Amino acid sequence: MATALEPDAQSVPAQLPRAPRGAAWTVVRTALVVFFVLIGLALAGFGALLGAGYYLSRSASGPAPTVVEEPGTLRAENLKFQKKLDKLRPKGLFLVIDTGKNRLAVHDGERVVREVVVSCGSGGVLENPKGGRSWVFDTPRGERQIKSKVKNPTWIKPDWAFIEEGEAIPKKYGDRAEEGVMGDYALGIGDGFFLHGTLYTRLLGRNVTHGCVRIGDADLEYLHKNVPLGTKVYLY
Amino acid sequence: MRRAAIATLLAVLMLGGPSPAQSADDALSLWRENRRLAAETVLAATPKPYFELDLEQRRILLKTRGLVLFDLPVQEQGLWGRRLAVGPTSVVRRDALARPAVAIGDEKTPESLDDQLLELADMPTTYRLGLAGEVEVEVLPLAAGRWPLLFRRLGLGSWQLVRRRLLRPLVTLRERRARHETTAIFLVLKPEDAQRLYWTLFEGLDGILIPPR
Repeated sequence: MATALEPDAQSVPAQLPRAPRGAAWTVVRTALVVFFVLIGLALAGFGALLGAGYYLSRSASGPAPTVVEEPGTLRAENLKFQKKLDKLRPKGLFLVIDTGKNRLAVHDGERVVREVVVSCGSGGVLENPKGGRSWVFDTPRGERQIKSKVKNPTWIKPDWAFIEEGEAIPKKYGDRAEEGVMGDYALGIGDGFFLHGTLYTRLLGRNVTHGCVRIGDADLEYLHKNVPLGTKVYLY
Repeated sequence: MRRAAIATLLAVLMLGGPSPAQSADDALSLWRENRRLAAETVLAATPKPYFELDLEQRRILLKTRGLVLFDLPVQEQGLWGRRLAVGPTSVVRRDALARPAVAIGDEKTPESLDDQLLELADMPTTYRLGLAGEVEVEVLPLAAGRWPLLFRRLGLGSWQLVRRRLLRPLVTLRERRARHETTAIFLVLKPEDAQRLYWTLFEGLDGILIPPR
């Protein structure tokens, strides 16, 4: 028999389903797990590829060299090569010209005795508007030597000098001569290239020439006095 | 007694000589030096300058007649593909996205002077060099500043990282399958050094390639 204190069996509500908040949390949690697993897999894959790349960069294919020569033979041969190279290495006074930095170094063996700011070729190109010919104004590279030394040089203007100025090329040789533009001295290094003076001293240190090497007055005088004919000039 | 033991040990160490592995290493060093010297002797006999791409010492030298004209340090380097041997090489191609070029004008008008000159500062810092024997060298500038440095230290050079560590290795694998493998070299230089190298290494210049061991 039911008492007043006992709850009415029919009035007790049935157990409610789980709160919707819990279901959402499950979905979010699952999504997070999937997300982190995917990120992990991606990182692992990326890491494996990086590792493979790292490995491949250090494992060159092809057979490793096998040394068959005796160390004694190799030592003797290397010594011979060294002696040969020592003989080839420039000695005494020589000039080294860096056409990029526009610097000339006077060497006495390994020692640099004077460094000079110069101007080298501009790398420009001139084409004859009438066609047929073109000039590239580069300073030549490689080994040359001082072939001539001239005091108060006269510039014998080549064809390009007239074309550049838009003038007609003269037929008489004498009409090509121009005084006072090459400074007090000129040192020839062959093929029409000279180390000479300049009127445009403010442009020393820049690549402005038609291939010759321009030098300031004091340095040019020093070179003329101290560099004998036959001195090697290395240009790079 | 104790002195005698130490003396015996020292004698054994002195008479024992180098281990076989050390001997092999020395022989390889001698052989590599031999190949380098043999190539240099030939190049130094000519009046042309020549370069030495020394990936073992991480430096690039320009020489003439055995005299060093300049010595550029390599900041970073990478090598992929076919193994290389120490020996002669030459520049067969020099490619830059924007090859520097100018036309000569009137140098007496200083306003337009910069546009008319081809100078060291006009040289590119990013370019490719094709060397004889299917060797591709890619030169890249070292990024300046705090963030690029940090990124570089952490290996997070984004695109470069992908290219060097993912794309190039894939090319290597493809080439290995095709049994025609080339060699790719990445060099990172200071920007001014990269420009200097571009200025100096022109097509046809001979040199010596010294790969890492």
